[in-house]
Amino acid sequence: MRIALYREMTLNAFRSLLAFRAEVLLYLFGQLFKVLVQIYIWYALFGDNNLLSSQAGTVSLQEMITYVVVSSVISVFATNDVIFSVSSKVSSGEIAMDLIKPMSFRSVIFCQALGTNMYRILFELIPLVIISMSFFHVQLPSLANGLIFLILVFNGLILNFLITYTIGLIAFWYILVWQVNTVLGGLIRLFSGAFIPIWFFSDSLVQISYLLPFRLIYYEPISVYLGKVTGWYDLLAIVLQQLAWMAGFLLLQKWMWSRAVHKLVVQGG
Amino acid sequence: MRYLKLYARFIPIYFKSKTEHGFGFYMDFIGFALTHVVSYTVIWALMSRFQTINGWNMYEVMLLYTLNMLTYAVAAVFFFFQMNDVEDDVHKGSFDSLLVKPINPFIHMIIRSFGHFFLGDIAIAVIMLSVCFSHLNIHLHWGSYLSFVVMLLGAVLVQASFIIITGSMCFWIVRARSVKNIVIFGIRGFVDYPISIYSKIMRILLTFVIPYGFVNFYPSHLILNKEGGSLFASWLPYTTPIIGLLLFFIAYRVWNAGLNQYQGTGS
Repeated sequence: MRIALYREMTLNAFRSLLAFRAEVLLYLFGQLFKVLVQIYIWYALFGDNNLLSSQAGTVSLQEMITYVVVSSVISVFATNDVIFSVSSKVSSGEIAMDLIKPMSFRSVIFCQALGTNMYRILFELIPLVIISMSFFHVQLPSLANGLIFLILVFNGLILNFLITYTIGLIAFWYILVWQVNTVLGGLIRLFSGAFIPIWFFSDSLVQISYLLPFRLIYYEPISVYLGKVTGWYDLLAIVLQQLAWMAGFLLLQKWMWSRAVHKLVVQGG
Repeated sequence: MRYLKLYARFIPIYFKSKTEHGFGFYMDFIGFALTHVVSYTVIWALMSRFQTINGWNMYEVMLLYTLNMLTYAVAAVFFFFQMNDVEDDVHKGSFDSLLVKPINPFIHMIIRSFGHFFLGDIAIAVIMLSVCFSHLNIHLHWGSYLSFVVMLLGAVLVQASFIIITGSMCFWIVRARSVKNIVIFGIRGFVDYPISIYSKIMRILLTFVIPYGFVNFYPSHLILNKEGGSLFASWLPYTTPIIGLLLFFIAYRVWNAGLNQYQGTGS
């Protein structure tokens, strides 16, 4: 019964997006341009070498191209507008409608994000993967690595949702969330390894990125995909870190939510 | 002259309405600035590991990024939000108000608003430009400075033209903003790095079809000592102002064609 509720919320978000197909096509082009720029940058950086040394051993050009494509695939899911939907609901007072729904506000937002993602699988991910596969030589992981990769990405995306949701809750106190979103986007771009793999970082940057949760969304799953992390001990460490960060953000958003609801005043209604 | 007088009236009103928001008004600058801090850090992280990309060192790549940002910001002050407003007006059907005023709609469109967001970008760009110049040991005498500024004005026209052309699409299609976004935030990203890293077809596209190369890559050849191997012709950098004017002329024609297309809502 509860499940049916969640399913309907998710499908609603999915259906409402079906109206904007032309936009999706353009978004897809934008995504392809980004992949193309990055691949050319790596071609130029590798120059005549086919192998480069890094903190994770030698890396080949082939592996870097795969890294770029997989990273862009993850970013299709990781870029969500959770921050904006939370803040616009708070500032417009629409949140009142969500508060009277028989499910938590977090679940409402989560189902909407899930619906968006379903839509993206069909119209963004599948075309992106097909085009990338046919134009660039993308390596496939071994079966074991592939499965672990999927688990890590799944965890990473939930972590990503929790981070953005928690930050979206800031809207209860400070309404101009877009600057906060810009800061977060910047931190993710730099420290998640979405653009430059952490194995090419200098030591000081490596240390900072290990203090932040963002690398668990991009860098660690892709490293596993490429077979750079193999030991069970290391894999377990990654999963545990993901779970620890998830637990941390769950507690944080719970605390923020309990403070926020008391603060909320919706006019009219 | 009349237009300048009008501008002097319009802009104070615009700023008064914006500074109403107080704190948020100043935060606008910071939000934009942070994006660039991250971009410079990305270039730094990449280039401190690899030293050069296609023969361009860290400060040369930063110079390219800075020129792209500077010329875009200058153009955006006068056109970005203005074209967004046009799109909103066309959707709401309130665009007629621009057509009935005793002033060229193109001029009115420019002067009724002001992109104060981008002033922060310009400030950062100027600072970074001087940082790059001092690290690259660029000392120009005043004649070269003058010609470099003329090149940059051409580059500003190129940037402005793309904003106008893509913004004018709203006269023909409903969701024009995504076209604008893909050109300005997608294709423009190609020139954040030297375009010599791309394949020949893409370099031809970025030079002759979608001439974003003239925003930073070609003008920068006038102040950097680069071998001309990646250019199609050694005199090509000097054509920047001509390309800018030509493109701006096309943009103005597109805008006018859009005006003729506009039907209004009939209310």
